[in-house]
Amino acid sequence: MLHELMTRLADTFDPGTIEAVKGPVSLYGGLILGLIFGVVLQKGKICKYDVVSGLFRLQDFTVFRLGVPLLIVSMVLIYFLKGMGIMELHIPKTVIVPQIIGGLMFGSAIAILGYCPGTAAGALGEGSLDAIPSVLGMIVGAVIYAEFFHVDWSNTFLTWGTLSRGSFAEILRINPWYLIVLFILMATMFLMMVTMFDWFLIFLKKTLNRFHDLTDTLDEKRPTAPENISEDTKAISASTRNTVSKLKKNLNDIFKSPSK
Amino acid sequence: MPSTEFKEKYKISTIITWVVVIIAGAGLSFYLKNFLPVVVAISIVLMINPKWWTIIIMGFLYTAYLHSGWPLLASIVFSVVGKPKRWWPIPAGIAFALTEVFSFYLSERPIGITRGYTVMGSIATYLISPEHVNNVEYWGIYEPKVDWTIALILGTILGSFLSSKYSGEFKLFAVPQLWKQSKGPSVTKRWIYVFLAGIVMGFAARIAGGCVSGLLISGVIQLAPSGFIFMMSLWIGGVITSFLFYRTRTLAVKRESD
Repeated sequence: MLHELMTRLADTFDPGTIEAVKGPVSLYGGLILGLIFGVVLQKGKICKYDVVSGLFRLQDFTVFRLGVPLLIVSMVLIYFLKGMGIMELHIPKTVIVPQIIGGLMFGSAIAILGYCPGTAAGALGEGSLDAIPSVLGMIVGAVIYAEFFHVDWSNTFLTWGTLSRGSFAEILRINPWYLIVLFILMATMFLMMVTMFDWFLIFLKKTLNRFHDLTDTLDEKRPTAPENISEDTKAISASTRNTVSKLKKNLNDIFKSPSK
Repeated sequence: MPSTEFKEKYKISTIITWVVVIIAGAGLSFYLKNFLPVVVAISIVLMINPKWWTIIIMGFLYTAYLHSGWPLLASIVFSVVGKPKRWWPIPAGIAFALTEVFSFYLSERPIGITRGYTVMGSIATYLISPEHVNNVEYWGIYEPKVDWTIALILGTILGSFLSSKYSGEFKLFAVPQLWKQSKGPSVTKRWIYVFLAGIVMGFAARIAGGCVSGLLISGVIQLAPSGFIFMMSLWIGGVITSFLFYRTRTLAVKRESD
């Protein structure tokens, strides 16, 4: 029994995959890229539940701040290097209806999980043990789809809205660089909007402390105020003075010294 | 004679464990007439508690083993760059972009993770019954062979472990802090929710034909409509579910800047 399992396991390994470093099947290439990818994910702090869930709660925009430069820089570099003739594009095919449905389902899963498939692996390396059931769940989900649904669905809605041509540049028949410039402008505007919204949230939170009142629930009790303050100062500081001083301090924090 | 500081820092039992691991690796490599086991054993010993000098020693080791200068260069760069606890989002995004472009150059394909999980499912099916794999049409596309994406997942886990260990961020926990604030500290509840959401995620990734890295990022950077469609629908689905699922506890922020 064990011997049979070992032979099956040996069957799954193809010696042709460890011959070269370059090329789409090389295991060495995957390992090298994975090492770099893991370091970047961990240092960017996007394989944490708190950060990704904060994005979908509209309160923590680390993912946007990381994602916009990522998209801009890699788009420019890839089209530049393609123009130089160094590399080719590998455009994923577009099928509109299943991608909308799949995106909605994927989004609802990511809101609960807090990890996308790549960052689940990164979170596992970082010590989040709850990435283990998520990885197992992803494998089980893929098996369920393959065993029970693929044949039934492959001729119905999985083909609705298939586009024959690849990228927007080919669909609109224009030079891709116009679209790239447009994308850069829009993405920069978006990033500025997000940053302003973030400042607004910091400002609200620090001045009014509304957020803390809602969040001080379970084990995160804040320390109570010291009691050896005279009655007068209590009466004054409770209302206006406190708020004004906080407001000044926060304006300082936000606009004068962005780095801590 | 080793000083008392050295004795306190490295206990004698740990040193014996390291020596046993290295000797086992050496024996195995002598048996197989191949240097790989001893190299792996030495790198395990060096990487359990990485310092800058262990990383550079490992770079030398791999440079000697592979007859190539790249590991040494990478180890020197990592020992300098990997020390801070985080990179700020914009430099991290640019590093991510360079990784993506490097993937296009080196492996001639975009980084995509979900394919690896699907292939793992295919391999699991193959281990249980090889005849059944031939009957399922989908496993013809995702053959039960160890491929690039599985190596990518393994590398991601190792890289993240190395990076977090080096900067002292590594911490084992079963329930994240923000989940404790919004859904309670129960481990069972979190793990059941995570497993169910993982099933939905794997299923959705197969319907759409990719995940965040394979479809969204690689689609958008090549100006494909699929990436933009997936991005918008993911965003809408995520925000709606977040607000329905956490309800009043949605506003539970614990910022790092505080």
